[in-house]
Amino acid sequence: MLKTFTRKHLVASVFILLLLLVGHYTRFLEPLEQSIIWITNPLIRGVASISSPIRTAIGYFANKNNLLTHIQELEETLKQRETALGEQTILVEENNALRKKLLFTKRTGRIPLISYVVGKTIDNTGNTLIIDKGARDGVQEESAVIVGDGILVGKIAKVNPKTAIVRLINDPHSKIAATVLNSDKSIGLVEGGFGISVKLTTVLQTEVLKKGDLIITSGLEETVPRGLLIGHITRVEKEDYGPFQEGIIQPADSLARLTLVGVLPPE
Amino acid sequence: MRLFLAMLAVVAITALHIALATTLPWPFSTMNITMIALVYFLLSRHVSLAITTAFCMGIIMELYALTPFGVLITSLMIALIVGSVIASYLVTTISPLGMIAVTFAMVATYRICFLVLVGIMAFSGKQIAVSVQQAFEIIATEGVTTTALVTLLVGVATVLRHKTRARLSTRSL
Repeated sequence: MLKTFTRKHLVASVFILLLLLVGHYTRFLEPLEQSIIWITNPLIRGVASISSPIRTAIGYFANKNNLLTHIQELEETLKQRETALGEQTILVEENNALRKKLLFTKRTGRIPLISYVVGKTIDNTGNTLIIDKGARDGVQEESAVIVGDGILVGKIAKVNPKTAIVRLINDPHSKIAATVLNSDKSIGLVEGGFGISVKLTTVLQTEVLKKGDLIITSGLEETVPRGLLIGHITRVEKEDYGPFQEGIIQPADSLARLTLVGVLPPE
Repeated sequence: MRLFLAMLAVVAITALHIALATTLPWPFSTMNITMIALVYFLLSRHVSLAITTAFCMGIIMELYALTPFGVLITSLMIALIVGSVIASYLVTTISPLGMIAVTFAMVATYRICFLVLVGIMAFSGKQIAVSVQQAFEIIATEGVTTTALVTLLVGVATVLRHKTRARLSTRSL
């Protein structure tokens, strides 16, 4: 059996305890207490200063799981924010596009059928888009397809019940009757080429084409109204022996990143 | 010299308790390092030394505590008496498990006494009493963390002692 608290220990302990309490509350022990504080204070300060790395280490291990959880939560929040930001950006773009189409509607009195681009043709032989509106929605072949405030990007090439394929103006098979906004009001054909270029062809040599001239639809086609902007001339190509001259056109809108288009139903 | 070293050890342990243990993140901050030293002295049959140490530690802690003077020393002394009784009549052999059991009992007693004394003083408005649920949480956390630390120390000590003995045996052969 262990040596335990004896009566002597107990009595001595109680006696010392009472002595300490009386001494403290009568302030008799104050000098002693001040001395103890004076002696122990530097030691406690020293321990506190050297214990900082220990606290940091233990804090790291103690809070590791919390930190990991917190990081995961932050990553999750970040993903949600990024998703929301992406959706917001899309909505802003759509909103801007719809506002422009509304301007077109106010100006011309024609209401385009708003369609989302749901795909692109993957083959390298053409530049076409797939839109989410088709015959059931009133889409007809050869209808003009616009973006913004009346910028022509193509024509409907094929109509399915629920979808349609748009042939962009830079497609090699695309041909659109156009007019140059110059002094001669030159008439020609806007044709696509292999690659991303668009050309204005069949313009008489006698007419004056200049860099920067705007090209619009001529309205000579039954399904494409006059006045839709196509682009502007960036270069004029003439051959002395040929009857016609050509102009290289910069389309008014980027044809590579179309998301929302409007289909103009024939009048 | 031995008295000076003993005093220095007591002050160092108390300083560790005040400046290190209490500043660690929860639940490590609830560890009671002073109690471990008392348990060690008690179980190594140095009762007088344990009583002296308890008084010294108690006085130093009282001087850095906000509780009325006497609460901590009284709690320490009662915990020491209870620990001594348990060590004498229940844990009859000195063993690692015995040390762990006595530590938990002493820590729980210490904190119960402390809370009871503070609760009594709350009637005078000088202290704020804690609820029963809070008290249970405090006692359980402090008991578990201090006992865990003791278990760790006992385990390390046991391993080191066995290694030392093995080396000595090998040399004697």
